[in-house]
Amino acid sequence: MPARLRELVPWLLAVALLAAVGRAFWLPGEPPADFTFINGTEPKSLDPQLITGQPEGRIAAALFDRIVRWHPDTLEVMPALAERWEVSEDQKQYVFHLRDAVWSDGEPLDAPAIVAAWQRFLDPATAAEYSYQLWPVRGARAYGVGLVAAGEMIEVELDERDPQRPFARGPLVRGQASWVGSIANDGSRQASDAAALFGGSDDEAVLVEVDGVLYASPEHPLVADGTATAARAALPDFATRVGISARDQRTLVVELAEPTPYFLHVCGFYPLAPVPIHVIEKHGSPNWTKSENIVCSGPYRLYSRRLRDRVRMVRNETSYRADEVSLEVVDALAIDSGATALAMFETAAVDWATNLPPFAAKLFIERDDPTLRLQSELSIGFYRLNTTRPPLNDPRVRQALSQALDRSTIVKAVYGPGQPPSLSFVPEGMETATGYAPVQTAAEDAEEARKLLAAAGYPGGEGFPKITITFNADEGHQMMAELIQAQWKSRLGIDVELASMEWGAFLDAQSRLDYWVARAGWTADYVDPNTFLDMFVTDGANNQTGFSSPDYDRLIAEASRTPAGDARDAVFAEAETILMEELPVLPLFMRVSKNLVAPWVTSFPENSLDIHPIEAIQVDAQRQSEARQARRLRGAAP
Amino acid sequence: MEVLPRPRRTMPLSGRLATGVLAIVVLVAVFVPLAPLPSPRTVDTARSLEPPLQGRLLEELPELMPREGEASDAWIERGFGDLGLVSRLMVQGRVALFGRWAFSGVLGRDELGRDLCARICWGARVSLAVALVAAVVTLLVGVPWGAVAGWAGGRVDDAMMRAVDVLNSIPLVFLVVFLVTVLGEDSIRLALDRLGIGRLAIFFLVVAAVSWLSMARIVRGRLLELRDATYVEAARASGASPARILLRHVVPNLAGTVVVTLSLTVPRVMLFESFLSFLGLGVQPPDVSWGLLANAGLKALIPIDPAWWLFVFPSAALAVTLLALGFLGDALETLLDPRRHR
Amino acid sequence: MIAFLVRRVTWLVATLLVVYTVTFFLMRAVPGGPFSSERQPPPEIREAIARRYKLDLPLSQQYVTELTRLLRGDLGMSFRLADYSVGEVIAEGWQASASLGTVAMVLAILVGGAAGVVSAARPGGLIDGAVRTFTMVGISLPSFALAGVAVLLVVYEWRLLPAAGWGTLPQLILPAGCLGAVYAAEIARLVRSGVVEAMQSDWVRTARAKGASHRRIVLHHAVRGAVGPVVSFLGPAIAGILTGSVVVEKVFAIPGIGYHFIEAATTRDYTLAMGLVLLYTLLLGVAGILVDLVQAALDPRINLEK
Repeated sequence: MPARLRELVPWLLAVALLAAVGRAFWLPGEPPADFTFINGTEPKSLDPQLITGQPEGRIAAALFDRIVRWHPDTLEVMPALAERWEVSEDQKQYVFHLRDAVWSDGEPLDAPAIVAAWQRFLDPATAAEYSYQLWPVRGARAYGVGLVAAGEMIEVELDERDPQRPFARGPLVRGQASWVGSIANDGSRQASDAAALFGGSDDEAVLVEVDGVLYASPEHPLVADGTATAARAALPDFATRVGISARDQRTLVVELAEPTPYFLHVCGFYPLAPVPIHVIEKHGSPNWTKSENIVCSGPYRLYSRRLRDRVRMVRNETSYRADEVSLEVVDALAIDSGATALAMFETAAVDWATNLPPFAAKLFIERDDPTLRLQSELSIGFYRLNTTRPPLNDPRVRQALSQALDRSTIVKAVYGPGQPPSLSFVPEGMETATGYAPVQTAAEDAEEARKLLAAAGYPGGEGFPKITITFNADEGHQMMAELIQAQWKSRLGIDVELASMEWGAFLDAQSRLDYWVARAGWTADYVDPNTFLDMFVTDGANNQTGFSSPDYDRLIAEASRTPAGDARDAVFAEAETILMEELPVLPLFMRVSKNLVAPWVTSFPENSLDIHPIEAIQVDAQRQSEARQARRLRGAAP
Repeated sequence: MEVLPRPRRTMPLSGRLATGVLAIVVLVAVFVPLAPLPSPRTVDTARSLEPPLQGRLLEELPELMPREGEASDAWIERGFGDLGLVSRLMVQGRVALFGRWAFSGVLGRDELGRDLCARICWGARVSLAVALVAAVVTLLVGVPWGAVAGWAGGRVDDAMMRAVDVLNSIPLVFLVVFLVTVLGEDSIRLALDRLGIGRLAIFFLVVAAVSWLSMARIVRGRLLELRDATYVEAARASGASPARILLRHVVPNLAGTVVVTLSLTVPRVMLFESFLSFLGLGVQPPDVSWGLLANAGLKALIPIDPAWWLFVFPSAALAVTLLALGFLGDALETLLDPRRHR
Repeated sequence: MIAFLVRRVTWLVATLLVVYTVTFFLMRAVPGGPFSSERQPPPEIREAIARRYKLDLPLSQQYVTELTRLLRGDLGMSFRLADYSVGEVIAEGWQASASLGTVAMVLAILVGGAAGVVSAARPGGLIDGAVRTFTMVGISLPSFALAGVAVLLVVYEWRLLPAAGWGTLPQLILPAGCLGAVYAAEIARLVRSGVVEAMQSDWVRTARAKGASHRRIVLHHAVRGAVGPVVSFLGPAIAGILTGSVVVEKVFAIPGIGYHFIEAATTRDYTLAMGLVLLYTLLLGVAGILVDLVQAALDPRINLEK
């Protein structure tokens, strides 16, 4: 090495070191917020249409207003963006009269804006996971799936970008599709009944013909030689075939395919919140969610976001609810370690924690600690049974497995007192919320269980094949599985293995029906029995048990056509009876939501969906700052 | 005037103490099925979170005998898991010797009421086994790899070391997640099960697969030095055959380095195992290891009423063993690596 | 020296390519994908998602597409953190990791170095024994044990420092301390052995013969001997500390990139995982090159061309 360089090196090192250290101490501290809470995992996105989780939902609900909202305590539907609404006699048409709302940049949040937002929600190109929540709307499902067939009215989006609005949809050509199909290399045409978008290899690539003009995706060879026009997508014509339209600036009309009684409730669900299309068209997705671009409509707007640190929200003065909001600045921290959450809570660094270590939960419950708020949720913990694999294909075996359990002992041992066992799939809380009384499966009876098992051909458990309980790696699931394994062994005489799997692999195995018994859970999306019962229709995406009953399917479909009331409840009850007799699932316990809330929080709404709207929370700032100073949650002595 | 330490011929006191401690640990791990302790798996929720030295410390345990209607050996599997033949015999011997009496609750119990002392002792088996498998793989794979690379030199050396570099560059996490999940897949697991490789063995292999790399590098480095060392030159000049050079000069010198490095690899592997448990990717219940226990104990360190024994005792076991290994490694280095004067 | 640099950089590029290939197939061979979720959307939506993220193309095509994109310098969008590109995630996480890592390393070098020197000044003495025991304990404890005890004592019992979080100086102290402690122990051992060995070298003997004081000998001459092994150790350690601080980041909720490593692997965030793996490889390679350069600079006997 050249001598000069060699001499320089120690000095270079010293300079580099000093620079690094200097930079290291330049820390991005911020003044504390009025209210800080632990939100669990880092939100996947701030775009309400692209999310499905609870942590994301809490933020989305604060930033984006919906057409209606749910009462913080009773979960009843309340006006939000819509001041009032009318429902037609056949319960298939909703007319929403909107208030004079604006986005935080002053742009009007009117009916056309909402129509555009919901079009984006249903657009297959957006790939919104929850878009099926809007499928009760007439034509929405066809649009969302993107199937076009010859003879239908379609819209073709041309592959042209407006340089002023680079992320907007291209110009639309609307007309009747005269032909849909593929064209082989030799020019021969092959018509198809219906096809989705333009995907597939060259030979299978789909083209549509409207008014004599051929449209294909930009990569198609026929576009290159000018025979076809480049188009980005071909979808059913939104304007005429989907039942969402703006009668005028302040009137939104929604037409449903069937009278879906829970539809109004679903409108308050956060994925259906309108998003600012004008901003998305300017900045594109996901850049529109950056704090410098984003525009909000809810009681809060986004101030800043630092990954894995916090999402900071401030009161949105342009919202019509600005005066109701008492907390000016709110921080949502992304901390998923229960132990760390507890540490921060106990040192008064946060005011509300949504997760805590199960160890601590049991302890707090036993000591009746006032900071732990328990609320039974519309949420059920259960085991799926793979009905396609013997011996679980015999309903008597499944019944035996259910009746041999002593659920209260198990649940008490794993979760401590306070988490009720459940013999019905729809949680009991549904009755208080909607009046629907859930149907229970047969009562626990070990003797009866043994008889059933014998009748199925395995007296005393002899000859019973070895089955496995699969669950994702977690102490609680492990304990529960061990206890159930022990109970089945001692009461039925059968041998059961346990398999702990990593989360991704676990979900994958369930969806491929590669399991015998799998641990599962389900929380209501909206307050209606349908959210629990429509899971088990034949080939339902969340069925994952192989269960299929034409009667059940028929009943669920019938329920979605029946207006709310006793008749509908009766239909659901009939369906749930089938479910509880066939038992493709073993209901185990109703989940109880656990939240740690600091003593100086004076208003904290609680409900059975574990939703705590931030705008309804209030604190005693004096006590809060004292506790923060002392870094102590509980008075003078711990 | 300061005193320079002279090269030693006998192991220093620290090394001898360390060997003693390790011997005790190994004895415990091997003979625990004979010990009058409760089973590590029996759940007793009534006595959840019992602190140490509470309750009846010496009692007859109902779990150590068959329940009615059960096969006569079923209680062994229920309480201790799938044991090999020797362990099984030892458990039966224990019952013959001590009956159903056991020292229970000496170190406290966990939230399921399982005896901590038993779990620590049985956990020693798994933790030591991980270390052993890693050591064996390191010896069987790492040493030849490094030796061949160092001795051959040139292109071969380059290629082999690049392979080691690449493997080193892939963050362990991905490797481990991949291996743990794929090998945990039902179909593959059943296939391996038939071959007699259980889930625990899979875990051992995963850990071993990543632990031989540094040994390969160190062996290679040492071999390069030895190849050019003066006495080897001299031997070559005097016409000795390569085999003789290898046996008389290279291997003894190499052996020292290998032993010392091994004594450093083992603690690293045990720490890695506990790191994996921290991430939730380590040994899975109902198997028990020190890493698993220490992590579970960590979760018990909550501000109000911490179950401190769940953390302190497993961590102490781990720390003491690692300390002993460290001191032993130091002592061995003093003895076997004459270049390093302590 | 140019030849040396060219050779090493070429190898680095080759290594990156191999690492890319191995990681690519590793990730996709594992069951589950970036969109596995407990709530399964209907199959049509799952297809729409697969199409949008090009997950439905044949594997070989995905491999080539992703490689070309990487060569253009575009690391892609994260699957799991849908609002962020991989570059943005790394940039944001890097700041906290670098801060934490730098402070931890500086502490480790200062404390470990001082301890090593003091201990080597009188080998076999009382201080030496104490330091050696402490350092042994330091490398024998799992890092989460240390962090757990630290939190219990400092945060709960004495209420001296905040429990977790990032942004203020008090929040930096405990995590940097926990992270640096293990490295301090290692460095102390390396420094000690390096100094002791240097004290027996010829030139130290000469200096002593010339009548130099003990302190001068230790500080000026022997320490030189320790620098070499420490620099060797620091190279991979720096790459490791930035990505291996997972435990500390999790316990103290530090928004660094170490945590992203684990998350990306377990949630099958293909793009983020790939970006991080390549970053780690790059860091390791560059650190290795720098270490060799610095060692050559400090020790004229080393010939890089060899």
